[in-house]
Amino acid sequence: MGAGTSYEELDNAQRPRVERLCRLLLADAHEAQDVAQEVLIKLFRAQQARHAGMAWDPWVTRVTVNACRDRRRSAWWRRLRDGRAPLIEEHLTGPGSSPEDALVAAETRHRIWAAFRHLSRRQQEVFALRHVEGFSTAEVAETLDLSTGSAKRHLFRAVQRLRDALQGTP
Amino acid sequence: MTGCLPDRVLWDLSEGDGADGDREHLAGCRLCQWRTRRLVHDVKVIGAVLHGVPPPESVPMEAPPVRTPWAAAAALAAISLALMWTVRRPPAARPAAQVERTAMPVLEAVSHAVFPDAGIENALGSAAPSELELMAAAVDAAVPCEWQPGGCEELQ
Ligand SMILES: [Zn+2]
Repeated sequence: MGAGTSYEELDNAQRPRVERLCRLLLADAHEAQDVAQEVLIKLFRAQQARHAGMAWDPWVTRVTVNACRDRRRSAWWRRLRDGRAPLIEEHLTGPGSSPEDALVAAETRHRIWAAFRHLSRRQQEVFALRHVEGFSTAEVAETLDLSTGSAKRHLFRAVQRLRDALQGTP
Repeated sequence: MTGCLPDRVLWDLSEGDGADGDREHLAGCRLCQWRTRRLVHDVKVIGAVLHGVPPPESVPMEAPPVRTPWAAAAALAAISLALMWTVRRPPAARPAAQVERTAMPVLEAVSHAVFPDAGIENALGSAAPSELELMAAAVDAAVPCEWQPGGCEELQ
């Protein structure tokens, strides 16, 4: 994707991934859409500035993760200010259910999402990049500025908790 | 054979890491092989669920579903009524086939009340152990720390 790419082309190519990651890292669907929009605009500007040789995917992922962190930091006081309850996550544009997803009972899916929401921020980020986005552990560590050992520890703890949710273990 | 490997070590091995000794154990232990396959399968299922759209309310479900106690109570009431009904009727009016027909729905109700969710079996799918694997596990008699009463200490 070069400097001549239109915003529409960039949006079509990157929005699904960016929005999916934002949905994972933010518990609020509207916030996720907002942040995804911000990221895509940043990406478009960077592209226009001709950042030659940039590794786009890790860069986009890093910008998305940082934007979600910033949004989470500020989310609590805005909720307080607006007296707004967390939004129900529905009417989302996103990929359809995969065959594996379709096999899992609705109650189990609820448990997995609830368990994911209860992971630490780091565990969420590491699991999302490794097992939803398909990064290698080394790429996850590099993107999140972690040592590989630290990324693996966060990942394994996340896996333990999510497996408990899958198996219905309290 | 030494004791089986904890999940943390199986996880490292599945990620291409781990010590040679552990890799050797895995190569020779059918139970650990099966546990590793199940671990990898579970993570795939979880990744697939999180890849999809969140359910309408992805809030924690702390309290157990209310329907289970009610269903159990209803099933118990159904059993009591069925027993009262069968006891009060004269034996001649209750051929064996009729008793069977009366009891089966009640037993099904009890079964649904006690085992309401088959989702995990669906989720595990082909990762369930074969008889051979379970026999191998029994023969090995090597119980991993996760399955012992004290559990494993969390590894750093
Ligand atoms: Zn073993």
